[in-house]
Amino acid sequence: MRAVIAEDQALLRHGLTLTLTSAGFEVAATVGDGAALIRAVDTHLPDLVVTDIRMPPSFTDEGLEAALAIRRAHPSTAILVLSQFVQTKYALELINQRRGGVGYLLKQRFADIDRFEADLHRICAGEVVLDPEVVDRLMKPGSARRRALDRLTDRQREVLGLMAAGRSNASIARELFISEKAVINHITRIYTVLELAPNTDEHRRVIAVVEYLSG
Amino acid sequence: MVLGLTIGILVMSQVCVLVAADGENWIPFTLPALASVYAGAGLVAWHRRPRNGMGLLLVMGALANILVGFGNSEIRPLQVVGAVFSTVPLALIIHLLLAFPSGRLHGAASRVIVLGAYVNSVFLQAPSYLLAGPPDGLLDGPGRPDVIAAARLAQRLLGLVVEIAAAVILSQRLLAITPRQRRVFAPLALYGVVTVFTIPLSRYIVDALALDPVTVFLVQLVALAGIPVAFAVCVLRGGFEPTYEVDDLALWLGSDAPGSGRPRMARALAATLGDPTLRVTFDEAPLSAPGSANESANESDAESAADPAAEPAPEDGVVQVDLDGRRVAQITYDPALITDRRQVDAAARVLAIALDRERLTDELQVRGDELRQSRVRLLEAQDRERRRIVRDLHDGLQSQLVLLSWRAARLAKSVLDGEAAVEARGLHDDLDQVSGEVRRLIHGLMPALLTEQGLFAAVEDLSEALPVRGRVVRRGSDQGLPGAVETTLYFVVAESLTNVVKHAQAQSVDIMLERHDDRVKISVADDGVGGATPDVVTRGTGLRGLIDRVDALGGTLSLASPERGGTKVLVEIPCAP
Repeated sequence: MRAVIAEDQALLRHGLTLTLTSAGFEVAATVGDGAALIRAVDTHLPDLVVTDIRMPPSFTDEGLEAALAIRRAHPSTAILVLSQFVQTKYALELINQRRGGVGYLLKQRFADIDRFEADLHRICAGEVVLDPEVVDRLMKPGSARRRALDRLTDRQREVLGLMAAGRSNASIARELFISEKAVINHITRIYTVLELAPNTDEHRRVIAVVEYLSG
Repeated sequence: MVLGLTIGILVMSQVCVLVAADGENWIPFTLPALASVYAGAGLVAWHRRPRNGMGLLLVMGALANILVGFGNSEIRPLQVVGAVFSTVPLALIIHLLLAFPSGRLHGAASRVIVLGAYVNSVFLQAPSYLLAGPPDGLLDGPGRPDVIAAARLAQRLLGLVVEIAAAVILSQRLLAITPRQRRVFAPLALYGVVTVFTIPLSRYIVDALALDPVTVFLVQLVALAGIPVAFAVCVLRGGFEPTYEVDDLALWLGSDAPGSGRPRMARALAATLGDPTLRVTFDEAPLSAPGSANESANESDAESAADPAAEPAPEDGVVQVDLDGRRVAQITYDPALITDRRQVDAAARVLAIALDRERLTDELQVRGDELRQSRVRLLEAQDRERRRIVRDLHDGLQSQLVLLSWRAARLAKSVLDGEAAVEARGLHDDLDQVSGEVRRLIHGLMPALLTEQGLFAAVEDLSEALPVRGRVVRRGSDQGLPGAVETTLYFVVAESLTNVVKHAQAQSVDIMLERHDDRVKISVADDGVGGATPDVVTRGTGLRGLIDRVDALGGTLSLASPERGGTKVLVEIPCAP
């Protein structure tokens, strides 16, 4: 599996390269800004792109803009966006692209090597991986998306939060100390309350939920 | 008053005498009427301007006309008086014209002309009444018509010379003075020249055409009556404006009277001293308004009070206005209108005080402006510094901590020794925690979203993190807001929301973001218990310092918090479009 890394800080770029290599990726190119990233993706057609949000020249959301452009041009390429801070606004923009695996994590998560490697593989498998902080935000009562969820029970909301974070049913069951069957029942009831079609695969359901949340 | 009464009595007595002489003939009555016109104009001028000689001269003209009038009586001594003074009024007209406007004669030429006129009218008239022979001649013996005729011819020739000389002098004066002075002087001078020529010319024209002597008399009378009328025109045009005391000038300059600044000073000075041609030239432009020197020139041009560009003419009076031994302005006036220089000196001292006051006010204004600007600069510097620190923390410390944490994790994976692996994992966890703390610290200093996506997005992000429901309405764009304004408004909202969460017991909070062309307006309103006083809100919170920041940026922050009515914070900051 080929990967392209975009990160303007050399040390972090080096660390990411080592981590991705040890996780079994072939790092085809490392670049330092958004424009170079788009060019590198066009050239190498990687399976995975890992990009920082804040890069030259504007040092604002270059990486996000590049990621959205890559999503449109190469829908099958999985994308992981890293950021010093996570914003629900950015997360929703990424998820709204719908197709392919996508991830949005705090930059510091990459230091947790095992978890990070697992997340990389899940994204490449087409799943959605959101940083727990983002999910936390989406579940806050202050969030406009929260209003739609007011009709859910606390347990259902808990399950939905874990779903939105891209966790599998088994993982949710372990997390909540309940059976997988119980998790499926919760999810079914959530779909009913939120009026969603139940016959979709897991990550599509997550996208659907988050899309619904994003209004 | 006494003079007026005296003249009145004289006029009345003359009218009585004339009625006694020949009540049927109207012509003799025109002279006391003429005298009354002179007396009226003269007394008004004298009353308005006691220091000016014109009033006295006009009153003298009235007296002369009364004396001439007695020539028409039937009482012998009065007839003699009338005969002696019969041509004096003409000489007096020349005197009046040359003495205008101060009432004094300036220059040897003027004095010689006036002297010549009087000599002409008194001495060359003498043969007419001395040698006329019986019954009119005052001297005994036969009449000497030849001498009388010679004297008449000499009188007419000398009269013509005097009149032409006077006309020449008046014309010269009219050409030499400024347009403004001309506006005051022209009506009288022009009328004077016309009159001076009308009387002798009409005399010869009438002689040549053999017209009725009554017509000659009437023409002369109208011309004579025209003198006080022309003088009245001058009074109306401002040559003899009522004057105020210099003390009043001080009050006027010190007050907030209508009009502003220097044009007003110049106008006040011109009005007080009674010289509408008076100009004030200021050496330095006012501090506060660099363009106002031109402004004052334009404005005062219409008022004929000050024109910095006009150089004083040689005949102008000039008084310097000194402040602390330094010349700050110059008053140019017409010495003909203001004969007492001490009045101008006193006015100059008052003007110096007024200018000093203006300087102090301007300095205060300038310092106030400087202070405001310096506060804004300080805020902007603080804002830049904050952004720099955030950038350094973000690119430096934060990245290094993440890398260290990553290395600790790698170490934990690579070492086989269980205890060392546990130690390395612990190190990773600690570093991860520190990394999170630095992240929160950076966020508190300057949220990334504020610099990346702008104020409105950052405020929306704040509302989403609330434990209560938040609604955000935005109007307009937050593009192009100055950094200091952006940061200040963000932290006002952040602090207000913190207060909502801590104290309001609210279910929801409404945030309104409005950008107008020239200002940004943000309100944070909750549905909580209310009853927050400004004191409580600001004490022990960051809002106090933020109010200072808002104030420094020229904005306002207000708080409404009725009991059980929720709390609303409204902040508004101006910003250039």
